[in-house]
Amino acid sequence: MANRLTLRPLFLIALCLTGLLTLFLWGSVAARAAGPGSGPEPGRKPLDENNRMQISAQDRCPVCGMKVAEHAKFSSAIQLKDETTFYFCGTGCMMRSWLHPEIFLAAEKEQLQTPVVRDYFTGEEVDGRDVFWVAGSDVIGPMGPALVPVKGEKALEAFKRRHGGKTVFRMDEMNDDKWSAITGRKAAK
Amino acid sequence: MKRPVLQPLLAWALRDLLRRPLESGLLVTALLLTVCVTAAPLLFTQALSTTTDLMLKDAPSLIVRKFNALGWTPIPSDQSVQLAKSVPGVIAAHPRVWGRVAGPAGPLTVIGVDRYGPPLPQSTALPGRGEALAGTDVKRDHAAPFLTLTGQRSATLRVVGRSAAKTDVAESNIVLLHIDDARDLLGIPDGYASDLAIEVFNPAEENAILPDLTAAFPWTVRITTRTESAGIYAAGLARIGGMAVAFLVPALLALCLLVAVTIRDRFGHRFEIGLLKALGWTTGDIVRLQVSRTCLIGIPGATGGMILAFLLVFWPNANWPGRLLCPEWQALTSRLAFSPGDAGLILLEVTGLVVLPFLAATIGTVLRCAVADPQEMLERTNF
Repeated sequence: MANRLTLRPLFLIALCLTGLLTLFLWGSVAARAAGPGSGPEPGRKPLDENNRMQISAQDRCPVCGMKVAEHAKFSSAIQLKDETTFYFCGTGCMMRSWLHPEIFLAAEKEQLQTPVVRDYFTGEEVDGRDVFWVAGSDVIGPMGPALVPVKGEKALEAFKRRHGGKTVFRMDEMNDDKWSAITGRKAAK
Repeated sequence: MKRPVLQPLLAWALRDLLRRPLESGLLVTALLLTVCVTAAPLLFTQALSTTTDLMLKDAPSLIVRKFNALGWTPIPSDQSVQLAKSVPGVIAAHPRVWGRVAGPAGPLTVIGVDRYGPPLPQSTALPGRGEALAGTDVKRDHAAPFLTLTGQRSATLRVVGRSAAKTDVAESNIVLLHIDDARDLLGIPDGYASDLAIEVFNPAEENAILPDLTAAFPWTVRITTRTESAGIYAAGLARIGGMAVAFLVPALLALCLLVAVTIRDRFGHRFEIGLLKALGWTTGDIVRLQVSRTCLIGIPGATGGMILAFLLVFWPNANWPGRLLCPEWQALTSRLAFSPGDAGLILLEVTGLVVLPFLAATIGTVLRCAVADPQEMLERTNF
C-alpha cells in the first residue's frame, strides 16, 4: 500500500514528461516537414500585365510581417521568374530581400525577376532598377528612415533640396557593405 | 396562475413615487435637464470634430490663392496649372471657381462646375447655363423652382436637382452652377479662377513643397495646406471645447445638489424602511425596492436628457449651439455629422458622470438604513 502511494506521484511526473517530449518531437517533425521550401507566404495576386502591384488586404511583408495594404505609399514588390510575387511594407524590406532572397523569400538569387517600387513624388509604379535611391534623408517610412526611390534627375534635385539625403545610389550598386554603411546593420541578419 | 403585469416590488415603487407626484416629477425633470446640459456640449464638440474631419478628408492637399495689394484676386487658370505642374511632387492641379453670395435666406456657397469637377452625384447631369443644383438646406424662392442669388451681379436660376445626398454634411448649403454662370455671379473674368487646388501623392510633401511652389508663381500667392486647415479647425475646436466646459460647471453643481437632495430625502424617509423591516421585509427586499424606485426616476430622466441633447445638436437647422459657441457657424455647415461610436462613448461618459452618482447616492443611503436596527429608526424619526 505504501509503495503504491509513493509510486503514484512518480508515475504522474513520468506521464507529464512523456507528454511534453511527444509534443516537442511532433513540433520538430512538423517544422522539418514544412522545410525551407514552404518559406514565407507570397502575395495573393501577382503583378498585372503592366507590372503594377495588386496588393490584397491580407498580404503581409515577408521580412517584418506588417500588412502591406496599410502602408500603400511605400509599398513595393519583387516578382520571381515563376511569377510568384512578394509585396513589402517598405523599400528597406524589399532591398534586404533583393540582397538575400534565400533568407527572406526562400528563393535563389537567379529566380529574382522584377523589383517594383513607387516613385516618391508621383506614386507611379516603376522598376526599382530605373530610379535613383536616396538614403539618409528626413523621410520616414513604415520601418523608420526610408530608402526613397526617386524617378528622374530633376525630381532627385528637388528631393535633395527638400529632404536632404546622404547617399544616392542605383539598385545594382547595392550590396552588403553598402547596406551596412547606410544602415549600420547587416542586411542578412 | 396569472402573472402580474408589473413585478410587485416595481408596482410598490411606482405607487410610492405616485404618492408624491410633484416631488417625483421635479426629480425626473432635474435629472433630465442635468443630463441634457452635460451631454449637449459634449455631443456638439464631438459632432463638430467629426464634421470637420469629414470635410477635410476630401479637401485638396494644397490651395493656392493669388493676392495683390488690395487683397485676394482671381488667378489665371491655364497659366497657374502649367506652373504648378512644373513643380516636382504635384500630381494634379485644378482651378476652382467658387465664392459666397447672398441667397434668399442668407449666405450660400456657389461652385462653378465643368467636366473637370467637382464630382457630382451619380446620374446627375452637369447644370447648363441658367440652371442650378441646390444643396439640401438651400431655401428657394417662393416661386419655386427658381433661386435668386446676388454676388457681384444678380441672377435667377432654375433649380434642376439636388447637389448632394441628404447625408452629405459638407454639401448641404451649396449651389452648383455652370462655370460661366458662377464666373458672372462672382465677377471673375473668363480664363480666371478663384483659386487652384493641388494634389500631392505623399502627405509629407504638403509642407516640403511650399518653397518650390511659391517660387514657381510670378505673383504673390498664399498657399494653405490640408494640415494647416486641420490645425485651424483643431484650434477652433479647442476653443469651443473650453467654452463647453463652462456649461459643464453649473451642470455638475446641479448634480451635486441633486445628489444631496436625494440623500437627504432618503434619510428623511428612514421610518419607512424601519416600518418595512419591522413588518418582515429583508434587507434584500428593501434594496431591490429602492433600486426599482431609483430606476423609475433615473431611466426616464437620463434617456430623456440624452434624447433632448441629441435633438438640440443634430436636429436639422438647429444651429443654436453653433451660434452660441461658434459664431462662424453659419459659414461652415448647417448640419452636423453623427458618428454612432462617438455618441455611444459620450452616452457612457454622461452615464458615469451624472447617472452613477445619482444611483450611488440612493443605494448607498438605503444600504446604510437597511442594515440599521428598525426599532431605533422608528424611534428616532418624528412622524
